[in-house]
Amino acid sequence: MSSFFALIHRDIKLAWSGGGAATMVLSFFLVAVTLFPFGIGSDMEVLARISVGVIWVTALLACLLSLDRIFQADFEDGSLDDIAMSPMPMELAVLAKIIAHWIATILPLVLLAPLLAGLLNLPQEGYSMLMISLFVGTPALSMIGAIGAALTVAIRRGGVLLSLLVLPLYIPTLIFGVGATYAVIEGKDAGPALALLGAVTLVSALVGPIASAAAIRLSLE
Amino acid sequence: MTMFETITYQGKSLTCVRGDRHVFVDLNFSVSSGEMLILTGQNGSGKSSLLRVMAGLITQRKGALMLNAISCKLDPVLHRSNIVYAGHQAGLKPLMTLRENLLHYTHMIRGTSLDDGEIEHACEALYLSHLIDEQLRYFSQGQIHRAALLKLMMSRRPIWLMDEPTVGLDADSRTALACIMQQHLDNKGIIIAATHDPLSIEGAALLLDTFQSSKQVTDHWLTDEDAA
Repeated sequence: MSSFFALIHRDIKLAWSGGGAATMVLSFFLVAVTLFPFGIGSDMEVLARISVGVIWVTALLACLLSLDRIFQADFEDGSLDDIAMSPMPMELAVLAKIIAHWIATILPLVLLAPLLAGLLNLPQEGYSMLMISLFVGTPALSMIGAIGAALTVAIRRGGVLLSLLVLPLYIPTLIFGVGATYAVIEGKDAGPALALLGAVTLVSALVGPIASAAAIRLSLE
Repeated sequence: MTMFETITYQGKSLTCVRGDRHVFVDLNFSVSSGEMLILTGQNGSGKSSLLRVMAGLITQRKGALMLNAISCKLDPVLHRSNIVYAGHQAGLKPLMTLRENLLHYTHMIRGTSLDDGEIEHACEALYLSHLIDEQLRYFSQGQIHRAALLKLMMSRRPIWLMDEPTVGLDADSRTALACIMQQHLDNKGIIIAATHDPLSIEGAALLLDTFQSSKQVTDHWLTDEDAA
């Protein structure tokens, strides 16, 4: 178990060091969301209407930018061999890397979201549900993304292929995440959407590490 | 340094297929504590593939690896936790210092944290003490290679698999490396190395020519029967 936490610790540290993805992704999220008011204009009602969708879609794209870093760097410098030789099974090692990715890269986006929601004139009552849905839904982005990252790890410039593989799989998370927040704003029950969002995350947490580990083993051959 | 327990590592009629070419067929080896096995053979004769098969990173098409007569397929964790593999890549992060790299590596491989004294002691053996708090991006190729060799010592695992361990090392480092390897053998460790370099290491150095030992199948391509 100690190997597991050692790997999480190491990956978080690397993500925030000079060559890491975390700062880059956070900046992208900030800049991309800020572009929308410029492009759409200052119609407060339109902005309020699209705010939740813009934040979710941009978070999704920001996450996509960082996915190739989950395994690629370790594959290229040979660390993945060391990880494969550690006492823990590959599934557990992959899970550690996914958790580290979520904490280092996605969690900052979630924490920044209310600030940007203010910029997009999100109605007052939507804030708490936006945060809840992001917390419940975004782990699925790391879990599903890891499968794509593991499958394309041996391909140089596999970024486009990775996007094509992963983006369609993000659709359920997007639909239920946005749905839960809109339901609250419209005064409806957010329960069903939130439950389905949680279900997507749980299923991806089950499938993600197993599928990624299988893909990583293949790439080491 | 603690002594390792006596172990025997064996491979029985190993066959490795890469793409649709047989790299080696029906290859056997056996090493016991305190012995060193040197893999020789031409380029492309399967030395690196054999080392990766031994490490469990590649699955062999046929045959079995046995650790103390226990099949490695049945107990992969036992297999992994007795072996450390040093390939062509260093597996070290350029943006971390040597100390951080070794700390993270050792923590992950051993599952326990360790004290700084052990790292410093290991660095001394390969003349890296002055670089211990330096980021690896400022290291030369030879220094990175030496840093990668430190991982073998830090792992505290009995079986060392080394792929071309002497490439890029100067004369002093070569002597230091031979000294470390000798010490590992004296501690009842096992070394399996693919090298063309005559290392001055005493003790039982067994030779295994991957090309000669394996049946000659260079012109034998996979038939449907083999693939089944």
